[in-house]
Amino acid sequence: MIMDKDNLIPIQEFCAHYQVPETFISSLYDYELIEIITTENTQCISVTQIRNIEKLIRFHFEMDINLEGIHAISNLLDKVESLQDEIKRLHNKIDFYEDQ
Amino acid sequence: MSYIDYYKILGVPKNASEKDIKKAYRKLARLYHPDLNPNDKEAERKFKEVNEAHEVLSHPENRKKYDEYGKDWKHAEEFEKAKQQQQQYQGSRQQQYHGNFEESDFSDFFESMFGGGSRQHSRTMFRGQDFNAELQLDLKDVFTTHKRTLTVNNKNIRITIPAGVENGQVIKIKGHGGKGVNNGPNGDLYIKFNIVNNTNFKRDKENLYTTVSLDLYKALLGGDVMVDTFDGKVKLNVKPETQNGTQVKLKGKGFPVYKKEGQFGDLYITYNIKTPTNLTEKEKELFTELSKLR
Repeated sequence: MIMDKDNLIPIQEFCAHYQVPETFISSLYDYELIEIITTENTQCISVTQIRNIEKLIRFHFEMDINLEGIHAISNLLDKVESLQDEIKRLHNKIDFYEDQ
Repeated sequence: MSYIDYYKILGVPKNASEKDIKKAYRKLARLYHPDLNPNDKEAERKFKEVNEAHEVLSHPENRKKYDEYGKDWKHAEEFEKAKQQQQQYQGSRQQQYHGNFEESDFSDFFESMFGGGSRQHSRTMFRGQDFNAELQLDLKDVFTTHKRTLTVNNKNIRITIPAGVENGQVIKIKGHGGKGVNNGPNGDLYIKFNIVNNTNFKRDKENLYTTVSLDLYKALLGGDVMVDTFDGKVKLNVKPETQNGTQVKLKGKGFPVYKKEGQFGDLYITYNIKTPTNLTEKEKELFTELSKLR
């Protein structure tokens, strides 16, 4: 995958900004919850992931959820999101047939 | 506006320690935090209550004030003023707190008691809260891409509504959510579209469906009919011996495909053949004659 450098943030910088240890980001990567991109020997994250990582930071540091919990929750939230999309799609289908 | 029992909201006794309050907050946050309850308005409401209770009880000064005035909170300001005057006289200074929270996230009770600038927050910079809004539009409104001005939190935002947006679809307007905390970036605004269909067309994504009535003779012998499409009338040739319920497709006469400019779905027309009623004696005679030929 070709990445635009402007859209990458070095992990060190990100962690300093959010005041979280770099090991936390590495753990998220180990649990396959985020992607890390290495460019010019610097480990970075894509800006598109910030929103998700902020959420994971809140889970851990504000709600005291451990990484195993975050891993399980993230998978379940993906399922919730896909079910909500499915419900929306089915609602639209019902509306379509209801008046027929 | 009534008194809010923050201890009750967090489910802790009045003499709870800071540790107990934090523990109770985290437990409730895990239940009601919007991150864990996407699109759940009830959970969002409950979380705001929990958050507010935590904001007050986790800060010693706020908690002290809350405990001190309790149900007499309506007079808190007067008491505070009197106390302040006394303190100024004695040469002491009041401590000021600063915060960047959105006012709307707190109850009127909170605002009355603690005001807008009395909150303290120890966290580092974070994105502002995401806002959710709903916008009701007619199906005709989303046939073409157009701009619309919305008022969100007293701010006017001009947004582009792309043609072909779906009922229930949510679009994100970056940076128009709540203000970031401690100079963090603003949250985003999520707009959900409720699309009301008052037309004779049924919509399934980019395809449209409608029914056209045909008289018996047109169905039997064929001919031209004028039919309504979403953007005007078109002439349609009906084949001879068309059966009731026959469906024909008008390519490209459906709804615009979302974010694919110039691309349209198809219009499906179902023929509903109307047989004549109130037949005259002559017609009955001719139909009888016809029936004998079969």
